[in-house]
Amino acid sequence: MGRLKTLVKWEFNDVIKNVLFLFGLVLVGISMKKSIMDVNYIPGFASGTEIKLFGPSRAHGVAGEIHGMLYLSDVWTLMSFLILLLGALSFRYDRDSGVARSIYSLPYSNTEIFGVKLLSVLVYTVLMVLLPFAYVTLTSYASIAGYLPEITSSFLGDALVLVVFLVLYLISVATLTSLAAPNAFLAFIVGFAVIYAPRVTGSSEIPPQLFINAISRCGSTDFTPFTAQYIGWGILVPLALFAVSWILIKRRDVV
Amino acid sequence: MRFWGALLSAMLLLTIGSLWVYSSYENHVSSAGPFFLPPVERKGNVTEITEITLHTPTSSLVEASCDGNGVVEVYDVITGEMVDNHTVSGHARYQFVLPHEGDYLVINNGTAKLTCSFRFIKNYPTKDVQNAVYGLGTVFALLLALVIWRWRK
Repeated sequence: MGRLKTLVKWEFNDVIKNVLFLFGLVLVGISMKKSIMDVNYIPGFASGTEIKLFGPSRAHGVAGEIHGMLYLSDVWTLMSFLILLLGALSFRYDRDSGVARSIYSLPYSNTEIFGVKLLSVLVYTVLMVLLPFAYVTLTSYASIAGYLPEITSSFLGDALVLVVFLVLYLISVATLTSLAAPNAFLAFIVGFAVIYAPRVTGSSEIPPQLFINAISRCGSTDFTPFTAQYIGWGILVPLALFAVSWILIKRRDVV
Repeated sequence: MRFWGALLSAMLLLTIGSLWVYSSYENHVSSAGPFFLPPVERKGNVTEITEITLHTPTSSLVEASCDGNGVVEVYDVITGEMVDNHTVSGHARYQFVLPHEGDYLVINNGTAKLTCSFRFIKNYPTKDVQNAVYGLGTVFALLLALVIWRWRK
């Protein structure tokens, strides 16, 4: 294990990736914080013999603001941008700069190097979304922190599953384009086209828009993220792309 | 690893950013309404309630401006506690404080119709929120100092 630990340490010690992580985390956090700073209102009408007006599960305003932070279009635009850069930096940039020649000649198999690089991209990405989300939620609603589990229980589980699906999809695109492209810039541009084409053409049947819309629907009745469409795009497609990337990294020379 | 340095610096910057967001939001005036609030009606054992749920991200000083006759009652949605009630006859302009961030329910518990609008004129984070922000900020700063100190060795 000591062998792999050295590799993990090396991968998490990269200056450019850490600078990107720092700015990404701060920008995501501030845009989430800004998004909840407004007053809003929900008019309602209730009629019946026993009306339940109070209780944590009735705090729809708070629930809506916390939920809204997970599908902010600013955040996901920034995240797709940063994930593509992270992918290009991890899998491509070391080859462009020549460092890869030394790394890949060390007594590590290409699979080990691939696994560790993938792990670093995953950790950076998940932390960049979930850490600011948790921080902003807990500090902004500190006075009612004890009620938060009950307020968020209706949507949070499903929404986090979809966030993981979306992140996996974005990372798999970034990984494959970085390994297939001949240099880091091209990898970034191709990945950008793949991720932005569905947004520009307005097709909500393909990620990332598919998942962003789905996250906003969490908590509504009979919505579940475990349908063929979401699992297909969120697990099967990423697995297929990772498999192709793995074959590429095993077969191709480090150039 | 530089990873911890980056993580903790980012959280520290986020702390400072949160304080900046609060200070810029302090005097931000937002308004809600006007809302038409018919009184709560009870027919036999059936109750009909028209209500407004207001959400504020900080504790706020609210200026209400109401026309009509009735009793404006404001409740904390989570606990059900009454925050403010005010009897309006004709026209009234008055102020009340929403004690913490969260949702508040507004109903008219009088006998006649009311039209109300609300202006949120001062917004301050509560003491709990300030404690959370400063407390976590202190933890991040101390951990960052530890990380940097270990780099020197």
